[in-house]
Order: sequence, then structure tokens, then C-alpha cells
Amino acid sequence: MVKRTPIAAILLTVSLVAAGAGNTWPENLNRLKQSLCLVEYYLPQAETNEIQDNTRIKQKITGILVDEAGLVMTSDIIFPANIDIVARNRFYAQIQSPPEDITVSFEKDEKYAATLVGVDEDLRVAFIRISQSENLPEPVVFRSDHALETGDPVYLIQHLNGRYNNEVIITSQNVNSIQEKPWLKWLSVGAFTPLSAGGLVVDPQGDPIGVVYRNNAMSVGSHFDIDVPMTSGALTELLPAAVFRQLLTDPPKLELQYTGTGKSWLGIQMQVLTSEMAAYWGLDTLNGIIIMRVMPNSPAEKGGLQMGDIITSLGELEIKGEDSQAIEVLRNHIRSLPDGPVPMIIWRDQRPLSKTIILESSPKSQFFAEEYSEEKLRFSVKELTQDIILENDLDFDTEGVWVSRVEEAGAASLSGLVVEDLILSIDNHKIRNLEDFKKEIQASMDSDPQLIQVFIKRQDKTLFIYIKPDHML
Amino acid sequence: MQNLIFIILLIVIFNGYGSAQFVLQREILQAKDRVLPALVHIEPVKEVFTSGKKVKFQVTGSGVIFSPEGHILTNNHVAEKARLVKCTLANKEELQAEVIGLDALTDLAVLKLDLTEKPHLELPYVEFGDSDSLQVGQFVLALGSPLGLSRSLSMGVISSLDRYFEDSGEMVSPFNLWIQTDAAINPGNSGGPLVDLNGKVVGINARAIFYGENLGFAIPINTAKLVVDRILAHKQVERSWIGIEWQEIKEYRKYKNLPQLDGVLIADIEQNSPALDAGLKPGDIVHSINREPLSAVYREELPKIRKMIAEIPVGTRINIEYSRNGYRTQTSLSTALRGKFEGNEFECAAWGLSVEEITSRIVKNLRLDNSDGVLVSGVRIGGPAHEAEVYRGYVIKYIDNTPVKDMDQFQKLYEDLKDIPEKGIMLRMFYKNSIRYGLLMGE
Repeated sequence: MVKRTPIAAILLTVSLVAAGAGNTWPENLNRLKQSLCLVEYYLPQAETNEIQDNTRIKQKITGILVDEAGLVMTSDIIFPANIDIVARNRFYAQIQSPPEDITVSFEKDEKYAATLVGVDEDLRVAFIRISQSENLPEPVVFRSDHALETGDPVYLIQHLNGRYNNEVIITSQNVNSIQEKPWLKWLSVGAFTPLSAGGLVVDPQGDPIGVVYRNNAMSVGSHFDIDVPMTSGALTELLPAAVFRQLLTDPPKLELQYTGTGKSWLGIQMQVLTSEMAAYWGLDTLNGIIIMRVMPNSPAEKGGLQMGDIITSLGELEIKGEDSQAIEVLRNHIRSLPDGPVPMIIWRDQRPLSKTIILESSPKSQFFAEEYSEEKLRFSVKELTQDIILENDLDFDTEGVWVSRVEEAGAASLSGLVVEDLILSIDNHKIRNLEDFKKEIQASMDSDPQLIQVFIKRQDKTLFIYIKPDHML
Repeated sequence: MQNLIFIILLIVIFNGYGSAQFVLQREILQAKDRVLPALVHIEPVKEVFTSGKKVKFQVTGSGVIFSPEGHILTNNHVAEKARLVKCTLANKEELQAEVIGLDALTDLAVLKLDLTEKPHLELPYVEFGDSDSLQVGQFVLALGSPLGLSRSLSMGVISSLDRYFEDSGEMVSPFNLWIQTDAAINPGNSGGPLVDLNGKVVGINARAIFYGENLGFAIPINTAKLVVDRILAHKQVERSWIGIEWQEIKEYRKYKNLPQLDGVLIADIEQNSPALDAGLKPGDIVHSINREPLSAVYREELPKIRKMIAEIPVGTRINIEYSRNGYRTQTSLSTALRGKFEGNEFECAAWGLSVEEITSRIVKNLRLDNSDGVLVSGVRIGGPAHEAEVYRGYVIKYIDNTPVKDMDQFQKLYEDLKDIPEKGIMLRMFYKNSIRYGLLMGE
């Protein structure tokens, strides 16, 4: 007994020290913690074998209140869709409807309804707005002039995952590396797997300076996990406030009547000019990007750019370097410019050429293409957007609508129609777009036909399908 | 008394049953004796291109001798790309064989045993039967080397005679229906004979479905007879081509409410084809060719139409009667030679890639404008082409600034240029409306 007393005393001392350490956390961290919120929503599950999505999954992610009117910034995984065709973050996502029944809760239990405002597909952040602004905590006011260096300490305020009841967790970490391109990011060796991206980055003075951007485990529980970034190990990417500051006052807006995302496109595919290639062509010191492909009806095509042209400057940007990041830098530069004319210098046949190209807003993707469902025949079609043309390597002048959903064992399915068939004509009437389709299918159905003849293209072949409207037993 | 009758009856029944079984057993043994001596275990060494490199490997298949001179019938997929073919006869004698001709479209090949060292060897050979007179339910034997187990025999019945398979990638059979049998067929049976109880070859075993049970498929011998004749005469099978994909009219008849209509529907027309030039369109119904009526109400009737056109001598002017929007009319066209199924491949070892000839099939599948250039079929990891980010599937159309028309020209340019100069060799490549530059640098 006598011998055990000192051990107990030592243990007591250790726990007192630990408790003391807790008291040294800056008061700011506890205040900022209150602006962190849990965003809950339902994501409809995209099903191509039903003509509407019938199931939805409840998900939770981290958000930050950024203004007094209830604007919350969060991760873009809330809406996993490519909105314009240039942002090709999600190669496998097909049809995706926006999230439903979004609610937001802060430290107190009360839940507030919210709606999706918009998504920035390049920075991969999303904004939602709480439908009322009373009784909300203080919004976070970011400092965007804090330049961190490798080794600098930071605090991260995040949520734990569901196993720990989504409690707030504050960790102390360091900036382990800095990435400059295509925009500034701080990299930190993360210690655990938080609920999601979207947590707050705070400097040692207690000032909020950025958000947790991506980390290696965005496991929000479903097959949308294609969002898992390309970082290895437990690396966490932190996004400085300077990069997204502008979005806080002018957040991206998602409108179902698509009018463009406000991001510009040129309409080309690119290959980097290497120094060996430049030397081969006798353009020794030239840095540039080779145009591999010019998209139809794009600003590039209208401006007379051609396959094989080498871009050396665009607006203020001079192409530098010969790694794949040069492509990312040019791409982001183009997307950041407003619609309208921009001067370019290209090299063609070993000679420079000045061009002015009129940039346009990037065209919508299949996610925002209108979908039309034929209720009786149990299938849906979408207009042919450029991303579908590209993904399926269709000829640039292809016209028609593509089959986006076919209900299993419905009339269309029983007649042999499958998802991704391209509809070229109905009852011998050419289908160029969704309007033609609506008109012709309606006309056909009005005549109460025994069979409807649908001429389709499937992979490399065309064939006729005969849909029997009363195929239902 | 009653007991006696019962016993007599039992003996009669038992004897009758016993004799039927005996007859069947005798027929099986006789049929086996007619075919087994001519059965061949084939082990070709194949040369293929993979990841830009030429590699060799051995496979096992089956075949059957059908002439006293030592001709062997087997599958194209057994004999294609073979540089060396080792054959083991039923008496375990080993001989080399030469590939006389291949026909990918029917999956058949003809080999010939090399008898130079044994000129007096008397070879057993089989007789071909008539696959058109087969019946579902008829007993058949399958002989071959399943999973390499040579001289194996299995037995079953004919399960179906009009099995139709759509073409899928390399698995094509546009000109024939298949004999389906429940006789066990496994990998290695390919090229072996399916035999009736008269000991005549009625089919060549070629496919099986492995997640099913006892679902084997043989090419009817009547399809093979024609191919054998053509290969023996010309070493290859030339066929006419007009560029039409056909579709059966079963649903079209209902759609138009014309239950008596005869004809065949045009589903697709290939680019640069005689049919396109003759003004034919998808949706047209063809009724006759050179006044010979054509009709395919069901898809099982499509192979005979394709076969009929294929067998017209190449370059023949033919008259096509068709209807469009209910009006009958006609047109004429000259058939063209059907292009090679598979092009030659060539390894450019010094550049670290392999290229393939652009056949009409590649033009069609990749929707190319023409057959200019060569197709990159593989890239060796770590080689100059890999470093230059040359990818499989691109068409090389220029080397430095010299246009590449075809494989012959490519090979000449390669031989001249294969040692890469200091400034490199520029490949200008195309893939569906896009260009890519690949600068090959020396290692």
C-alpha cells in the first residue's frame, strides 16, 4: 500500500497538466466552433432503370456560416453533377438531381431549412442559404492576407463522423507542403478522417484563414465516392480564403433554366508543347499549348483556331512551363475571364499569328439538359449535349436525342430500347432535338398505334426498334 | 400360368431393351472407329502483339484430317497467327502442319500436314456428312482435346439447329446458324469434329457457354464444305460486299399491318459502300436480288441472305428490287470485295510500338474517313513511344512530314528512320477529330 501512493500522485499530476493544457486553447476557437454547422440533406439516387428517382439517401456534411443572411459554404459533394461541360470532375456520374430537404444545425439542436444556392465546380465548394436569418450564430469573417509557410501551425475545426455523433473536433496541425498551381493550396498530413470536407482552418492567433478543401476520405457513404481526391495517404488539402473570398459576396448561382455558369470556355482539347517538340520545330524557347481538337460551334472554331495551332498567350497569361499544369493554368485562366473578346497569340506553320477570340459561357452538360419522360412507354430522353457527344465519340454533327432512362420491363424496355441509344427518327420523322421528339412521340401516341417505329443508333450501328405501347400484360 | 406370362413378358421387354441399347452401343463404337483415327491434337505456337511487343505462346486445339493428302479442318481461332503448328495424330505420331488458309468470318481454317519426311504415310481421313438433314434430338459425338486431354470423346444429342448469334467483337458468324449440342464441349475441343452415328462429320465444334451446362455449339459442315473448297482452290475465301446491315421484318410486318409482306429491312448502310452509292437507305425493304426473292421474317433467316450476297462473284452487277414508303422500285450496283477481317501487324521494336494495317473493318468501327495511315495497336512500357505519350488507338498519318498511306509505306519509312536522330522523329496522329503529336526521342 505504502509503495502505491506516489504512483497515484503522479497520475493525478499528469491529468491536471492535461486539463491545464485544455484551458490554453484560444477563446476564438470556441467562438468559431459555433459557426460550424452540420448540413443534412437527401440525395436522390440516380436510377436509369426507372423513369424517376424513387429512392434517396440521407447524408451529412460540414458547413460554415459565412454571412448574416444565412449563407453557408460547404463541400460540392452536396450536388455531385457536372454542371457545365468543361468541368469534368465526375467522369462516372450520370443523371443526378439536386439535393432535397436540406437542413442546417449549429451547436444547438434546432434545425433550419435551407436551399442550394450554387456550386463552383473548379474550387469544388457549394453554397446553401438558410431560409431565415434570426437567432443564427456570428458568421465567420475570414482573413485572406495570411500567407502561411511550410511548417506553420494551424488549427482545424471539423466534425467527427457519425460514429462519434458528429461532435466538433479541433486539431492542431502544420502546413507540410504548399502547392501553387493551379491555385494556392496548403497541404497538411491529416491525422484522422473527418465527416467531410468543409471544416475551418484557423491560424494560431485564432483568425479563420481558410477551409478544409479535400482530404483523403470523403466517405459520405455512397457510390458518389468518386469524389475521393487523387492525393495519397492521409493528406489534407487546405484552401486559403484568398482563393474563394470573392465567392462569399457573389456566390455561384444554380438555375435550372440554364443560362451559363458564368465561366467561359474556348472549346479546345490541349497537349503541352515540350521543349523537345519546340526544338524539333525550330521554335527553341517557345512555351505553348498545342490545340488537339476544336469543338464544333465553340469560340475557338468561330475564331478560326485549328487543330495543331500552338497557343503561346491568351489575354494577360503567357504560357510557361511544359508540364501538365500548364494546361490547368490556361484552362483556369480561360474560365476566370468574362465573356467577350480576348487577344491571343498562336503559332501556325512556325509563325506567330495574332487572333481575337470572343469567349462565351461554357455550354451546359447532360445534367442540366432537359429530360423528357414518356409516361406510357416508360422511357426518358435528353437532348444531346456536347459532353455526351464527346464521351461517346459521336460525330460532331450528330443530331437526335439520347435515351437517358428505360424502366425495367416497361413498354420501351420490352421492345428492346436501352439506355444510351440515340434516337434518330420516329415513324420516319427525323428527330433533331428534344422539341422534335416531343412533337413526334405525341403525334404517334395520339394516333393510338399498334407499334411505333423508332430508328436508333446503338454503338456503331443503326437499327429499327418497334415499341408496342400496350406491351404491358 | 399368369406367372409364366409375366416372366415371358419381362424377358421380352428386357431383351428388347437390351438389344436397343446394344445397337446404340455398336453404332457409337462404329462411328468412333470411323473418325477417331483421323482426329488431330493441334498445338500451334502463336505470335501476337501485346503492349507493343511481339510475344509467342502455345495453345491447344483440335482438328480432323479430311483428305488422303493430309488436309486438316480446324477453327480459325485455333490456327490464326500461328507460326508453327505441331500436330499429334491419333496414333500419337507427331507432325508439323502448314496453314493453308484462314477464314475468320466462319471461324474455319485449313491446315496441311507436312509429309516430306514420311511420304508414304497412309493417313486416315473422315467423310463430311450433310448438316442440312440433321434433326433435333439426334445422337452426336464430339471428339477432340478438351482442356488439352487429347483423343477424348463425349456424346449427346442435337439440342437446336437454328441458334443465331449476333456478332460481338471478334466473335462473328454472319453466314451461319449454329448446331447446339449437349455433348460436353470445353476449351481445347475447338476445331474438333461433331459426328453423327454414321461416323460422318456434321459440324466443327467451336464455342461453348461456360456458365451454363452442356451448351456447346458447332459450325454446320455444309458451311465448312464451301469454305474448304475455296481455301483449297485460292488459299482464301473471297466474298462480295455491298455494305448493308440487314434486319428481320417480323415487327415491321405488324407495324405496317402487312402480314404477308416478304422482304428484308435495311437497318444500316456503311460509308463508302456500293449500297450507299446506289441510293439505298435504312428503312428500305429489299424484295429481290437479280430477281431471286429475298425474305427474312425472323432473324434466324438473316445468315442465308448475307451468305447469298457474299457468294456472288466479286464485281458482279446486281439488280436490287426494293420498296420505300410503299413504292416498289429498283436500283443496281456492282458488288465490291469484302475487306480483310484482320490486318497485318508490325512491331517497331526501336520505337517501342506496334502498328496494325487499317482494314475496312477498322475504318467502320473507328468511323474513319478513309484507310490512310496505320493504327497504333500497342505501346511498350518505357519505350520511346511510351515516353512520347503515343497511345493505342491513334492513327499515324505522318512521320516527320511524310504522309503515311498504308502499312507497306510505313514499314519502308520505319526501316529508313528506325535509328532515332538527335532531334527526334515526329509522329502526327489522329483520333476522331483530334490530333496528337508524339516526338520519339532516342533512348
